[in-house]
Amino acid sequence: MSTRWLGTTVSGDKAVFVDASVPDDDGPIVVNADFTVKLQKGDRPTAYAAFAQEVADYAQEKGIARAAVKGSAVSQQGKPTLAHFEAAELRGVVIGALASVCGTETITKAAISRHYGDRKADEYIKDDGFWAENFDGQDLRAGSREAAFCILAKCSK
Amino acid sequence: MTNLQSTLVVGEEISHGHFGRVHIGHDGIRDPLAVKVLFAIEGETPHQWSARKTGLLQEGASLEKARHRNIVAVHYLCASATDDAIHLVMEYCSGGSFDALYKAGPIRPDLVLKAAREICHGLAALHDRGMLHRDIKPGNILLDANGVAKIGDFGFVTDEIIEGYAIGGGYRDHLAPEFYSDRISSVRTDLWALGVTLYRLLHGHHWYASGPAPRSVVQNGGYADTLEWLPHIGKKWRRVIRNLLKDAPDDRPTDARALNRLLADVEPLNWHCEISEDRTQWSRVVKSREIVVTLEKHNGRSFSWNAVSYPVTTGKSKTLYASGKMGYRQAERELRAYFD
Repeated sequence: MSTRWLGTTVSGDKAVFVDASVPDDDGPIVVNADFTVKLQKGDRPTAYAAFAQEVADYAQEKGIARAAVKGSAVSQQGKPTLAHFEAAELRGVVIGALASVCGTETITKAAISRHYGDRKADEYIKDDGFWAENFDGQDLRAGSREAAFCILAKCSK
Repeated sequence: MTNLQSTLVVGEEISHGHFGRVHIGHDGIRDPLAVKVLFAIEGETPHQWSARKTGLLQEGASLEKARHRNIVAVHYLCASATDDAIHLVMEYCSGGSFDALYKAGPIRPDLVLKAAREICHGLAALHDRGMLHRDIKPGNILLDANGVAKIGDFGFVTDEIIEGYAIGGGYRDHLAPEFYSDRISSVRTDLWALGVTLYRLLHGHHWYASGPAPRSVVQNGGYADTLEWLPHIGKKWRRVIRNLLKDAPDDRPTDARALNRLLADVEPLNWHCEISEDRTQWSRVVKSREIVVTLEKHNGRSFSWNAVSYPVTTGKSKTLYASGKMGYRQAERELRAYFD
């Protein structure tokens, strides 16, 4: 038996999604899909509505049971810009859409580093051997590792 | 047992298709309703009548199985006590189908884009639940009172799919090349049909009908390359539709979700376009100005175009550009550059 998870990171006007089956027993996590959803150009409320429906529909139709979204964090490099706030808006859209369908949690990179393993999150993300050992199934794009790591950090494996 | 009677009252006919006529209806709860009615036809054998009833029942079952915000909802089925009529009672979409809009002329690209994305949501759900629509066309895309697009008419829907394929069928001008070679339908033939539909909605009936009917050319291959485009239909729209109309199914988007992601990149521009015998005119309001672009046909070989900015309320009009006379191809190139 396994549980279907969706790990997500939002950056700018797009979100990366990793859909993975996490086995109840030992064994690697199986990646079912790895894709990016981009915000429609033009009017933002309309685009958010389309985005939310796309995300909620995916979770509903694919039987996603749990979702882990990389949360917002305070920028360490200068003042936050409008782009940061707009990305945070989009993150809220994703969180709301997923929470309407399945159990949804947020996790920050700092929290992952504190609670997962003995290395920092970024070190795991760069470690090809770690990914080969822990993930199976469809190839994971390098840029999707953060989204997959949200699952790993939340699924208590 | 209590002999119950329906409160359904069937009103005037609002449309008709292959599998029956659709009337407006009222039952006192979800008014108004759309009611698809079938009556036993004089001279029809009991077997034929039974088969038609089963078809309507299956359509209702498919609609229920596909229940989704972007699919017309089915409510219930009513049968007469005398077994000479059966009614499928469904959600009424007061905006009507895209057929009338399409026949009136090109539909604004931003409105087509919104509908396309919504249809992708519905189609993705339908496919995920193991069904193929097989009849995507302007007349089967409906708009509800809030302007939300919904897929309707499940008369051709099938769930008899083996290894991703079902028996081919549907509206002849929307059949993909693999129908002609192998008589099959798949997720990607639904996407092909959606590609033809989007092209038609963006260009309107007059423009679409001036080209060869797809049924006579699709089987020759390269259909997408034969399409004539209105100049305001941008590169990204063209790319999406050409992708949907690739001859090889594997070259098309993998599914409706992948298509939806491509559509996210299309600019939702609000050019309104009207085509008449000697003139094509585009208009669009930007802030307090209305931009009007006009292509004039002086004779079969001579065209000119201009762009004028008019104040919406007060102010002066201003000519932004006025061309000299030129052939159609040059005018089209210049207009494309202008709209891009």
